[in-house]
Amino acid sequence: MPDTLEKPCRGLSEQIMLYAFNELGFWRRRKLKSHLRRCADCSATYQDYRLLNAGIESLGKKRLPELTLQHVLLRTLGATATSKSVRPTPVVRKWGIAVAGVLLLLVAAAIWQTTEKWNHRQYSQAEIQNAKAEVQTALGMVGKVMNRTQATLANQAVTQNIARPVWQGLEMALKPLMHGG
Amino acid sequence: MNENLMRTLRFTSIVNQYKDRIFTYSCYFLGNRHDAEDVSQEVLLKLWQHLDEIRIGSAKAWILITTRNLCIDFVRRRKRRGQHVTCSAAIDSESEPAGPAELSPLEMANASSLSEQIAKALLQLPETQRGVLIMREIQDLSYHDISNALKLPLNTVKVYILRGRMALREILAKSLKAELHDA
Repeated sequence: MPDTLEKPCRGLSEQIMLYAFNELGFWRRRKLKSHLRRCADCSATYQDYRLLNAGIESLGKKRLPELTLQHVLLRTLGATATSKSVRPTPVVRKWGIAVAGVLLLLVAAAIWQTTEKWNHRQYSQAEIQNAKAEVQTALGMVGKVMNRTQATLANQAVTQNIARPVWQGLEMALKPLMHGG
Repeated sequence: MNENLMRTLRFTSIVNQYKDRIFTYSCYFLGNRHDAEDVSQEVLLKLWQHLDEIRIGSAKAWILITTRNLCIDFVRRRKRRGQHVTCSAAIDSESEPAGPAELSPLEMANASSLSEQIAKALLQLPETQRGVLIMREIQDLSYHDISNALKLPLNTVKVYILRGRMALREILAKSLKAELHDA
């Protein structure tokens, strides 16, 4: 490419460029070709653009580095994979149940031990006396409740066994009178 | 099929299809491989976030416009921080060779040395022209595709490309002149 730019003939600059870049139609190309054979300035311009086209074509395409691509995939597909709720496999589930069972057993053992200790506690005389009194009061209350329950049940028995049949008998006897009257 | 699985499949398919396109655009737009990696990553993460809003068949347009917008944002942030645009020497490493057709070996050699200068010259273009030129020249998109993706009139796209090429030619001529002067 020369250091100074040749000026092509008026109106041909665009056509020359298109021709150099293989974008000119058949008839215009034919016409321009014959002009280029005669005109030195236009021919020089054409050579400039032809070289420019060759230079551009040799630039070539680039390949995205694998590392960059991997980084992108990790930030997109990788992120969704980790954000998904992970369903435990049957093996993991079995082990989970086993561990939970063991933990439950440990907790139960701990509770049992503490209650055992509580059971083997030494009580003072006063505490025992108090407990006896409370138990007697409670037993008294239970007795009262039982008596009342018995009385209620007896009343119910009277209603069911005597009162209801008598009432039903009366109803039967009075029925014709009530309807006929 | 599970909804999450469908989403993942769609995402991976779009990523596989467009990841290099995103990176190529960012590389040439920003002139720096490291920054391009950051922007590409940002685009892909955004894609994941907005995947449900992107209609089937419009992923390409969404990616192109998002990459362009994020690149412009990145350049503006860089300017605000007072960092100047530099063309990284590592920009051409690991690129796929794309030999131009119908060129002699001498022209091929010239073209490869020229490609570095073009990469630098691209950074001097206005953002709109640069973006459209990268899409057209490096990503091989048609005028129509660019117009659809960027929601620009077809003629505007053509004008951007035309002016971009003219500007590139001028910048390269100037840089060659400066090199000759230094020598």
